[in-house]
Amino acid sequence: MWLALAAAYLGFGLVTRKGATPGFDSLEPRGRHVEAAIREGRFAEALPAAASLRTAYPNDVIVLQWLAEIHRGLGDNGREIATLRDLARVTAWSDMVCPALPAALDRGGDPRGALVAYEECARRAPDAAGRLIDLADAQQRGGDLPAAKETFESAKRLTPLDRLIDSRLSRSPEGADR
Amino acid sequence: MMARAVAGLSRPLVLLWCVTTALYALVASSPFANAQFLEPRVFEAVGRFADWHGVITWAAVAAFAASFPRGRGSSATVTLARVSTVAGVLFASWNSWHPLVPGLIAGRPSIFIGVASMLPVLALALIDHLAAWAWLRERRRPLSELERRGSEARWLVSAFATVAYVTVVYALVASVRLTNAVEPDLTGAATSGALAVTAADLSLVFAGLFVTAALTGRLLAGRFRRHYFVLLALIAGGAAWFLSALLGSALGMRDDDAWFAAIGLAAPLVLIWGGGCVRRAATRHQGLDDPLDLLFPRYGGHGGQKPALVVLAGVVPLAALLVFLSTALDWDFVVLKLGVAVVCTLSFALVLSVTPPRPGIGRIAALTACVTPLAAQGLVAASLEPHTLERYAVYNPSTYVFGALVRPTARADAFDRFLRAHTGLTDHSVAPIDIDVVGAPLPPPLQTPHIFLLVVDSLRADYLSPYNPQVTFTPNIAALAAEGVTFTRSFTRYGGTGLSMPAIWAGSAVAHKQYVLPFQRMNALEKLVDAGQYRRIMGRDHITEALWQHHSNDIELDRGRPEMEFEFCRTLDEIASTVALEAPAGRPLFAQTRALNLHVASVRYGHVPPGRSYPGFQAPYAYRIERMDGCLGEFVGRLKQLDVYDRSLIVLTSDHGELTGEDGRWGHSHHLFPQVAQTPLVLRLPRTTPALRVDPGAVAFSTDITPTLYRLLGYHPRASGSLAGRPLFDDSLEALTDRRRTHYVLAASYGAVYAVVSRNGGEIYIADAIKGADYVFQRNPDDTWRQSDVDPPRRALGRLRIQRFVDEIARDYRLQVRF
Repeated sequence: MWLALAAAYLGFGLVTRKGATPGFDSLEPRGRHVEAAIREGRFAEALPAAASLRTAYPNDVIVLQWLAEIHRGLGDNGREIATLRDLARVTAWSDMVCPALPAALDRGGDPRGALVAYEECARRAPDAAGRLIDLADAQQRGGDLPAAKETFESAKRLTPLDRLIDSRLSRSPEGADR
Repeated sequence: MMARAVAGLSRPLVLLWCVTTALYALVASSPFANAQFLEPRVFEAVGRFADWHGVITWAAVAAFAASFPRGRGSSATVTLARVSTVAGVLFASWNSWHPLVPGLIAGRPSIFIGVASMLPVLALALIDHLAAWAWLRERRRPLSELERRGSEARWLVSAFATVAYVTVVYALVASVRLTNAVEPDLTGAATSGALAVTAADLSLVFAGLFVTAALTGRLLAGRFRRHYFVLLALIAGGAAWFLSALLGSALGMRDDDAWFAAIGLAAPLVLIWGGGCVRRAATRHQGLDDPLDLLFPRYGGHGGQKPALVVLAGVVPLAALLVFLSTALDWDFVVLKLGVAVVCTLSFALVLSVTPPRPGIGRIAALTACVTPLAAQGLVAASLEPHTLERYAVYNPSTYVFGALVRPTARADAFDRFLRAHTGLTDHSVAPIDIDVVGAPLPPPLQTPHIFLLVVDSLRADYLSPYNPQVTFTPNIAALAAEGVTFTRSFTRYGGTGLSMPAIWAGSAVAHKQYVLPFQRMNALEKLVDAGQYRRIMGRDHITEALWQHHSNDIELDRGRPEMEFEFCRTLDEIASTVALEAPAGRPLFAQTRALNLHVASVRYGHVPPGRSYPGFQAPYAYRIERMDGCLGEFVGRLKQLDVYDRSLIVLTSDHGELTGEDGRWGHSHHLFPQVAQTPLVLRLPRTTPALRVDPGAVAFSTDITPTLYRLLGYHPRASGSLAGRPLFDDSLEALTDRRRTHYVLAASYGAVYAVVSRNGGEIYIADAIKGADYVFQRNPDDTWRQSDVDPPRRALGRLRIQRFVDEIARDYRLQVRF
């Protein structure tokens, strides 16, 4: 009896220690349908299927990513931004959101919002030089040249060999003065 | 007596033939191992084994026939022995006319042949069991309760004593290996925690073994034969499981193939071991009543304890030796894993032989001993940082092996099946597609500089000074880079020559098949060379031979030499001599070579002359690079002397990088770690190149080389999807800097391992569908890499990008792949 108990306990323990698998499988037929429709530009057809998947998996990052792409494909800037904000919440400002969200805000005519989003992207991944360059570009476009210079210099510290940052720095008035 | 001795000696020979043939066939079934080791005959002895297999088979048949002592055994065994011998003779005759082994190719048929070559072992095992069948039937007496409990107690004590011993042995090994290692995370507390988890992992496995053995004994009490065969099946199952993981990972086999091969190897070996035990017991008329005593060592009494303890003490140096061997010549940790298995099995057998049966241990105590490890392991593991165990496992093989057994991170989900199904495509016919960088027909180029495409197989970027300021041994490459452009974030598109070279020539990612033939429609570089009416100076390795059309006026490099002897210095010398003869004729020259100086087989056992040292680098590898650097310097000097240097476009790159022992890993077979994925890419442009913009800090790929050559020769390559490469020089900087925001998918050439390079080459997500694992690496400001945790968004995004890449290839090549 005790042996059976021990065997059951060990067996259960080992089986339940198998690696976790994601909740939603993007390769299941509904996912394949949405993915194919997005790839072929049939966004209107993809929308209802993706929306129903979102009901079933409200926080699944792939489903949210699909929805953001669909809204963008349909030219629905407001819904694209709303979906990207959900994605930002769920993924802690991952590469799914940066620079897609600030770029969507820019396209929607909200440069101030875009700048805030670029700042948040950079804050969330302080060692991602690309995010700093995006922020510096946005600061430059917004006319805040000292901030842009400072941000470019931060990016330069992360990628010392990157000559593009040198050229960007030399284009800013501060850089040219040096 | 003599006959028995001959029979005893013959069996190991038969076993050796069977196992060697099976292993050869299994290695041949792997596209990577076949292309990289067997075809180029990297190990000459292995090549000779294949050449002489027909003759060796006759020796094995003779040994097989001699392994049956004459005049012994029942009519059934004699008949079976005769039939098997006749079958062996027929096979050997056929094998002499149509040698099977030298012609083995990658794919499933080789796996079947490997498994079939174990049939003689199966026949011997069957004969042994038939010979001892009467003895097996006589065993009917059930163990008394006292005997049963005594046996269980002995097994329980032995299991946990083995755990303690093996833990101590490997803790000692790890502490020695950690002495000079720089591991800031492995503090004293972290190391102790990791060791505690290892002990718990070991306890869990041995508790499982004990419970299985005890439970089978109870359930099958009094039924000796059935108990014996159930034990054999369990042992064979365990061995097959271990082997399937070993083969699947090392040879990149699909799950079902790995299981088939593993069962085909393990079952005959376990059966012949059981047959030997049974035959010996029957011959000696031993009165055994417990099959565990038949298959495992019995208590040898006080007299046997001392020698066994001496041997047990010898396990410490054996473990150290096996770890040393694994660092010197391992492949995908096969030696390391087998070493741990040997050390554990041997230790358990020895401990069992010195542990006397004892009065039963209390049930509560036994139950506690069995269930505690699982709870303890979970608690201690949860208190450690995730990467602490990973780092400690680099030094303690038992942590690595037992951690993988009881805390698997492996998944076996639809995504992995999807990747595996789309990889290799040996069972699919793939038609070539047209790859035209600028549209067809291709007009002549505006510029026709001489082109030198110098590919060094397995050359790592971080062993060259333009990429790593610590490197002091490549001054000529540094000089070339100073006169040209160094792409500091360059990657191969395929980790492995088999697809990397076709992708370089196509200037695009390609279908995962070696090879899509005829390749001419896809060979964008060959189209460019032909459009420019270049005189071609090329080596003819097995890939070039298959994928390039060869013209009668081509100049062949390394003529008559085996591919493994394509040596950078000699080839450059040959190119320079040819340039001296041909350049005055005025026709532009196109030279390409793929030097094999750095092939893993040459480097691991390569020598370094006394007095030379390369601190911080793998010395034989660095030494070879230093020599190549010198030859490159001479080559450039000769081009200058010949006054062709300024009219030359020189590309120095590699088809993929290489692991040179990082965390015990070697080669590049199924890996896309940063050391394999990152490659050097240095371009020296001719003086006449028109002014073009370049962003050398932007991420670049091997598939960009051909479109870049098109651009530099005056064409304007068109944008054509995410699979195609893009020129690295252009009129507008914006077009070039856009690539910094894009992600790119890479693949291993020989297995279902894919990676996503993002953040301008600052991050790599790797999905390894062979091991069912994934990884994230991030670049440090000094261009070294650190491993990060794989969080769910990274995994989801990485998988989506890989899925889209694979889907795009399938769509372009009209593939219908089921998964």
